[in-house]
Amino acid sequence: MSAVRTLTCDQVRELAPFYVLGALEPGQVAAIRAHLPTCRDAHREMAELGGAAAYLAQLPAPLDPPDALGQRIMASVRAELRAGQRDQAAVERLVGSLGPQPRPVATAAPAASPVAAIPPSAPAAATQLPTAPEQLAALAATSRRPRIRPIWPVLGVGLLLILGLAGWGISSQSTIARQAARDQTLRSALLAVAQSGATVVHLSGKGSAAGASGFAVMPPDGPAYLVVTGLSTAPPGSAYEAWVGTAGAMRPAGQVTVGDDGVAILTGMHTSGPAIRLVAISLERSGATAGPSGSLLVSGQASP
Amino acid sequence: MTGSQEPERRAAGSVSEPQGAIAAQSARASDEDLLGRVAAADPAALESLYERYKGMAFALAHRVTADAVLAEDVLQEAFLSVWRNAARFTPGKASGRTWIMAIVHHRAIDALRRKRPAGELPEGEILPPSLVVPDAWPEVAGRLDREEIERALASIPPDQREAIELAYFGGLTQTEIATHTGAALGTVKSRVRMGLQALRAALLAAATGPPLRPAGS
Repeated sequence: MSAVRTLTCDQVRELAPFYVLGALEPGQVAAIRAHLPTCRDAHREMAELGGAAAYLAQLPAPLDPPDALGQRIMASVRAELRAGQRDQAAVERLVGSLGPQPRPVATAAPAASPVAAIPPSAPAAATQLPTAPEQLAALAATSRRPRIRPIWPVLGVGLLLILGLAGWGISSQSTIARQAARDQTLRSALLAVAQSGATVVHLSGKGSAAGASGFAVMPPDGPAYLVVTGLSTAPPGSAYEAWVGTAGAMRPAGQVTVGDDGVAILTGMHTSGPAIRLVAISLERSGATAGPSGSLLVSGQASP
Repeated sequence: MTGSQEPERRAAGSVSEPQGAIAAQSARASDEDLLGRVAAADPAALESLYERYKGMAFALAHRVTADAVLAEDVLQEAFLSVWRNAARFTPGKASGRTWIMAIVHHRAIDALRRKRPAGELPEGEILPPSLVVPDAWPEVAGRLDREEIERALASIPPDQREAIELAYFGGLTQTEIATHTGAALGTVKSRVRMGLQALRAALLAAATGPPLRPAGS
């Protein structure tokens, strides 16, 4: 996602009439949406002006659409429902097959600084980390809404990553803190996959990155994530760059760093602009980000 | 159905039992109840909402896009969005009708902007519809019919009305409205703000007072 502009209350008030009419540019809409939930001002102008704007929808004289349209919509809905039920059953079978998993035990008292660096929503100590079945159960709980895309490839990668992270060395409090933060990020990425309307791209490597695989997820709300395992650490002086491809153009989506655990996680992938058709990673010299200079090591196409 | 202004009071048609009983129950259910059932993955509830609002929704989509085929696409996307996002509907923040029609409107504006030549597209991504459009006056909602809303809009100054219509039905940004009308950007901002405030007052007056007269008459 591109960086969202920060607005003052006065700027929000100035934009409010166009916001409620749906006539702002997307960047301005995103900035207002970022402002409102955190603002101490109730911004009553939104309710006052929005209430008036809502009535405009009733102005055009009623016009019946073709009968076939309703049938098409309901056929799509029922197809999504069937696909969602299949996905739900698959997740439940996977969770059931895993059984209970022992939780790692913290051996040291919490140290202030590394734990303080963890996002507020992340667990503070390893004893609070959810197990893989718990994470998948949480995913299952949020997967009840119907979707049409298959989620098995992503679930498979997610499961491997969760199990891999659980086995990552827990030798110090700072390691525990890092693990907790990364585990939380991965969990957020998987929950984004389960979000209705999310675009999910299954990624696979080729050439020197033939063993790499992962996924990119672009939910309708919240940050986009890219998660890849099987990439070796970038050589000195170079870096992995993520790219998103639209109709006829490739744009930088952020730098991808392989963590100590061998997993590359990019949070807040830049996904603004026209519909994304391709997500890819290439190895670039540090600082060169105008476009991919070499072959795409990891890539995946978005479903139309 | 023909897009009634009082959809929640619609009587059930003469259909056989037990489907008739179910249909009658859906016909009596409030929008909010139906959205709750949609959130629980009940396709019949979505079908009821579609039947209730298809006329109003298709008219809005057609007015914005001026294209019957595109308007059908808009309706399909919008009601699938209702199906997928009903769990995010919060009763009390907005009426079910406002929420559904806001989705239809945003989808229609998206479609309109995509249809324009590339050079006219605004920068950045096309966002999904805003799901928080609060009703200012829930006690007024549902009392006004289309003619009363038309009269309320006609009662505000023409330049303010034009700016509002260009924004809402034309999908034009404030800069585009300034270009289109030849007015300064600051003037456009004032017209839209004052126009919405005037429309709010006129709608409240229509709900509680004597009939309105068009501006200038």
